[in-house]
Amino acid sequence: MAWLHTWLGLCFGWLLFAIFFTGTLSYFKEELSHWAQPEVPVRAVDTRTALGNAQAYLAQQAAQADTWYIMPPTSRQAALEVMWQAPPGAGSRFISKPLDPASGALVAARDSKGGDFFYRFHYELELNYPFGRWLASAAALVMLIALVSGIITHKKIFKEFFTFRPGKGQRSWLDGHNAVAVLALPFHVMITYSGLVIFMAMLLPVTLMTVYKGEPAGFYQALFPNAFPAPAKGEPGTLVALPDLYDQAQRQWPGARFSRVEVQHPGDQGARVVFYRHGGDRVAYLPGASLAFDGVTGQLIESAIPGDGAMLVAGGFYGLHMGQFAGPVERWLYFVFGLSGTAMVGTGLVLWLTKRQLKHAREARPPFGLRLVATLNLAGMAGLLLAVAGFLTANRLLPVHMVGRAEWEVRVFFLTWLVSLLYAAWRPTRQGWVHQLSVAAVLYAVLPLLGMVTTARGLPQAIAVQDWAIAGVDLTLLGAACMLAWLARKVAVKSATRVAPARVARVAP
Amino acid sequence: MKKPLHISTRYRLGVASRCLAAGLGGYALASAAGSFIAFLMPGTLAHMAIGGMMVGFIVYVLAVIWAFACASALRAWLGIGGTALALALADLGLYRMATL
Amino acid sequence: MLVAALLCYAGFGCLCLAMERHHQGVLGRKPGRLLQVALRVAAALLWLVALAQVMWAAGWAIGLAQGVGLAMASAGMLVGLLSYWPRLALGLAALAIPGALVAGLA
Repeated sequence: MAWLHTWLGLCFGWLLFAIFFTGTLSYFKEELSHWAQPEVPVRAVDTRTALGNAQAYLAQQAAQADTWYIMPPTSRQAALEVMWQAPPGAGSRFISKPLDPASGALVAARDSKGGDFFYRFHYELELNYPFGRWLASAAALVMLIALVSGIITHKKIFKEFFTFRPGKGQRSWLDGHNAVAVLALPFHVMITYSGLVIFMAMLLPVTLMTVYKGEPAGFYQALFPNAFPAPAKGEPGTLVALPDLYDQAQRQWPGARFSRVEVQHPGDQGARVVFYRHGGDRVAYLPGASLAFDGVTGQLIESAIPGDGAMLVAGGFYGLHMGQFAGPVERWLYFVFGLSGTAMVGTGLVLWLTKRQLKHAREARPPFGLRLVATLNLAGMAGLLLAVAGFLTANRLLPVHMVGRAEWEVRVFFLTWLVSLLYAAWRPTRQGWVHQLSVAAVLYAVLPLLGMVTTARGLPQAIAVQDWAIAGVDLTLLGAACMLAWLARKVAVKSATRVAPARVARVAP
Repeated sequence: MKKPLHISTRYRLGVASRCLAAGLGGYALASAAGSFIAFLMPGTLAHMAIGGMMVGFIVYVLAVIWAFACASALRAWLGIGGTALALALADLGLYRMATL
Repeated sequence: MLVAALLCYAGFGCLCLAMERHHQGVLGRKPGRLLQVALRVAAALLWLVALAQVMWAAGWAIGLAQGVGLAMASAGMLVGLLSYWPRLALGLAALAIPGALVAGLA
């Protein structure tokens, strides 16, 4: 079991580190997106007005589209986002525009994927559909097996509980690895299993096909009852005012929030308007929960809350993974546990390397495999931190109205990572770690300064207008810079006072 | 510590065999088990499918653990393959009964 | 959530003291069997009360999620403090119980 845990951990560790870290950042993806588009004005949330403005804009700009999507602003998402299907031949499938919710005017915000880049990366890895998802899912399965094998290996779990001995070299790495793993074990198991549950229809299609006898359309209809309207009637019809429908929806579900309003066949006699309930209204995330209205008469057609039994359990896992229900305290807890998972993978990788480096300490040249792992450890961990900094820096430095800006930010992310890999290949040693961590610390510290120079909402302005999303991100970046600087120092000090290889570490359990 | 003992080809083949049993055989077992459990689940078709798939993942994890915990690679193949086959046959039977 | 967090922390403190190694490290003597059992029971009770409180305040589902989250966070805090300042860590655990009462009544 220890063998299985060690080798699975090594082979998938670098991928899992990236998935865990970007996933952790995703808990604040709305805040990161707002930070990345500081031009979007923050208004008091007024869904009625926002919907009216959205309708006016879409009626003008997207009258021919078959479906309109409206994402009203929330306390965490400042923009009113409208979306519709692009005409065939355009670049992407959908056109998406941010609007000022109070006036309905188009916001001239810099084009950026913001927090959504990290969110999509953590389950798609920026690879083509469906390969990215399959790879991320394979990593999740391996993670789950590593967790179980880790538990089996660490049978003396309760005897050693609460034991963390800092400053003792390899033993400390093992203690640290065990500590972050065991203390947040419920979280790690939940996040990994729920990740698989989210993609279950893609991963275990045989079961789906067997139950539905080869025609799985019924499955999606059961999950999303209001998503498949009858085709358009072809006769013109006036769309009812969306704010009035919103009032009706509020009467049906008092106090509910709505994350999305879909207008199906606008301008047609057969138009329908579907209000999708915000996932954060409850723990279980059942994305099909919605109210469907007739778009012309305004009558309620269907109130769908798919979810009991197995569906509720699956929805519960989905909701726990996404954490949409989380308030500020819970969200920071999610962030901390996510970082602990990242640290669990990271300490494991370092542990693997240090154990074997000690074994080969007396040799003049370490074996190629060790040098490879050392390079990948450095590039996989410090490199990823640098890549994230690169992405955010590109957001601050690229010209605001540059064409293809969003894609360039992503390119900078990968280019930074590549540079880190090349440097790591050249210098996979402790010195290399000091260099890369120091550069990262500097970059993270400089980012809030860049914000003050290149945007209208740097840290001081954000605090002044109580824009806690932007202020929070900037302050967290400063905190990260301090931590990275401290880490770099620790590694530098350790290099200077190297423990003699004669002090062999104890055999791990 | 001096150079490690020579790792025999036989050992490497055994490991590779277990990996295949765990990875591919495990997937087959997970799918077959998922379908089997689905037929036992109450509720609508959607409930059955969801319940089956959720259990399927757990079966996959257990199968992989077992493939590396059991006494030999052959045992791994027999255990996982045999169970998968048995469940697949049961699935076929249940499927036929459901479509009658 | 503060009440539940403090109670969880106190619970883990009790569990920690029930272990020979830490009991000896902080209090300088080995705990008797009876004391060990008593501390473990106390820990369980503290956790149950914490969970009940948070599930009552926020509904069973969100409360359960919060409860498990706070348990993990408080355990982490305790281990962190224990590694560097063991007496402080366990002293805080002792203070956490009256602290929870104060927070609950406020």
